[in-house]
Amino acid sequence: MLKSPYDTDCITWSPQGRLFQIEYAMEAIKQGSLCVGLKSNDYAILATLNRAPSKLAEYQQKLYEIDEHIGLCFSGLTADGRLICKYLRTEALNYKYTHGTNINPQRLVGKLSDKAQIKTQRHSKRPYGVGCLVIGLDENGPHVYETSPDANFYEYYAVAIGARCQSAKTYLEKNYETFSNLSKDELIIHAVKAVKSSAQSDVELNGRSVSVAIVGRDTPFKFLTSDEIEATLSQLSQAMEVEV
Amino acid sequence: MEKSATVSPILTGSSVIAVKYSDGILMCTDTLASYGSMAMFKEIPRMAAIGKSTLIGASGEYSDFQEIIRILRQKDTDDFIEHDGITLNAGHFASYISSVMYGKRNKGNPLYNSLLMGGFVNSQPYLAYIDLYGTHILGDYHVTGFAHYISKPIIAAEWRPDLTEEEAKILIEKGMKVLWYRDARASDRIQFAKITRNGVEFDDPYKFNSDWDQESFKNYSLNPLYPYN
Repeated sequence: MLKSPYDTDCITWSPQGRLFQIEYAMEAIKQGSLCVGLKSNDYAILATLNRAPSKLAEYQQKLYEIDEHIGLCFSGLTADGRLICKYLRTEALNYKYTHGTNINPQRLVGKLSDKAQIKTQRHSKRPYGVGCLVIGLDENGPHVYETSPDANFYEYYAVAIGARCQSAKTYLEKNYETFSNLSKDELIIHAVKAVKSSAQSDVELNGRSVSVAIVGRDTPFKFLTSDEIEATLSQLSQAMEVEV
Repeated sequence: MEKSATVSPILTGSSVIAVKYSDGILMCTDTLASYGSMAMFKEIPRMAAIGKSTLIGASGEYSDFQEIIRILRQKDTDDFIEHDGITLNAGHFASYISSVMYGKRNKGNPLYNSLLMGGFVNSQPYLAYIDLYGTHILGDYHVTGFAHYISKPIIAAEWRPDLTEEEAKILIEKGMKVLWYRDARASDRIQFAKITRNGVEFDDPYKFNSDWDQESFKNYSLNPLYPYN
């Protein structure tokens, strides 16, 4: 994206009717590493490719539990993502206390978008620098949502955001129509395959650099252990060796 | 700004009785609001519907009852405005208002009521008792106020989960009649309301008959607990 006049702050329109600061904020997501979300009739899954600042460092966590029926991952500015996670957790817990029941995931995502919208219409604020993928469960089943700095949110069958997400998107587009009735394990394999397809060859895929979490009608939100992820990864690489 | 707190109630309703029956919840109150010992308003409703999902009846301060109705109906309207198909059921309203009442109790400024809330949760009949302290209890039948002492033993002896509407009405009317005999703040003009899977329905209020010429009233010494010899 080239620099333009009219991009100094969030409250200035360009003559073409664009708000450049928001568009630049959306670029921040592409700097973050990959997030993938997908669902079947019974489960929704998030998978992320984590980065480590250096060889000596731990991989940085991007995938968080919001409530027993909601999970979140994000791409972009980690600090913004963690603050959003804290907000969603507080809202979900507050609702549970006053209403005696779990908050509806779509309502929660809507609250986040309302907060994000305020940041696009004040001279003193900047938009959030993250896109979030949210999985959640309500009476109608599992859902996958994407939120972004422009304060929109969308619901998806399957979605990918972050660096090199196009390969993951292409994989999901080819396969999503088969997702509805898959078992939990088959769905997990698709999620990990989508992550793999975006990973460059020099990126090490292991149980810590890849995170996966699942929520479903009979499954409160939980992370897959790194052993379970490694098992899936080696299953996939064996299969690929056979194909070749 | 001067703070004020509800110190003691002024215009009050007496007992509420509600039972689960075969079709849902049946609830009954008398139609009296008392101003201390004065029977000030003799034909006012002490039950209300919140949307289509919830029937609520209250004893205690009448203005606080009106406020509770306003709060809960506002919540129902908020859902309608969201227009996303999500609605709150009786259980949600009960949890919500009991959280509100507990919070206000902790600040020393309660909503001075005992409420019974009825509806359906997960397609099952739901009946809750909620009071000014923030107590929130579920049950097959509930009463408020004086009816705890006078009517509840009668209801408890005869309640069954498969009561028909007629049977439930007869049972509750027994409880309301004894209240008229013994509660100095009760009245003999009562109203029934029910909530079923079709929604909330209010019956017309009516006056029931009572017999003040009973032998045991006229000749008190017939009372087995009469203390004088």
